[in-house]
Amino acid sequence: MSCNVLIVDDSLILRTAIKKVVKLAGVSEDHIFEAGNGQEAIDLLETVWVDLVLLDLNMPVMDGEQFARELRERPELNDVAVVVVSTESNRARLDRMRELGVVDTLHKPFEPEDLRRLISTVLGVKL
Amino acid sequence: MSQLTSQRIAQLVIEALERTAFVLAEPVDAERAAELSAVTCFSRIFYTGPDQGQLFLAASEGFVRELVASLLGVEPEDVDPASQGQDAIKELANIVGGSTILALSGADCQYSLNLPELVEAPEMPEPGERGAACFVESEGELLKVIWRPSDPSRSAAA
Repeated sequence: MSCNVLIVDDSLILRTAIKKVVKLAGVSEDHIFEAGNGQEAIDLLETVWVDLVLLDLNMPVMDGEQFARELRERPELNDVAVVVVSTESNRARLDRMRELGVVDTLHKPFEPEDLRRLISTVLGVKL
Repeated sequence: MSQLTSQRIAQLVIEALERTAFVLAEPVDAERAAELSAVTCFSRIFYTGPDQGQLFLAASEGFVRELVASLLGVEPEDVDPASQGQDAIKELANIVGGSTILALSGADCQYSLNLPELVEAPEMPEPGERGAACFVESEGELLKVIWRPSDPSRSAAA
């Protein structure tokens, strides 16, 4: 699978664990990118095309909601699919994320198989 | 304000450990907890919303090693507790915090979580009259979780 996936989470441990699942979904390691917050993710998206962003919400520097808002203000990045992977449960905030075009939400704690299935579904639609 | 029991908190913690890292844990009482390794790694997360409070986690080094090892698929001896362990215990606070506010609110959640933080042992709170605490054990290693709701009168004043 030649899609590029970006994992945005301030926890290096979680990024590493999620990366393992993304690889299990069939994405090769050189197509997986990481960012520790929204700003790092925006910086990376200016240099490489990404098909799917797996986005944490509660992060320092630039949180996931700010990132999604920034993404939608950039026409060249409007086609990037975003899936929220977070502990966030606040209904109003999740509604705002949907309005910003988020494709789906996976609530932590999740089973790796749930994430693998979600990645395959989202990327499958794009392939 | 909703109430959580020690048993409910233990259930949330065990589910988080199992689903996120395949770490199998079970609740233990204070007597058994006293026989296990001392807790040396501490994290907490505050929540706000209809009421406020915090989740405080205290884990033995062995528990944190096992958590990281399970998350990353490495041997516990290869884990660096100073960096990887601190990251993992913070993230566990984040995940258990998320489960806690869902348990407090149900589907119509109006709570928000702050960022998790590392703390020191002296900052460990007592659960207080309205809070609760639990111990869970995995492979002979200990995790203590304290749910401490804020005093409603102080929340209202703030």
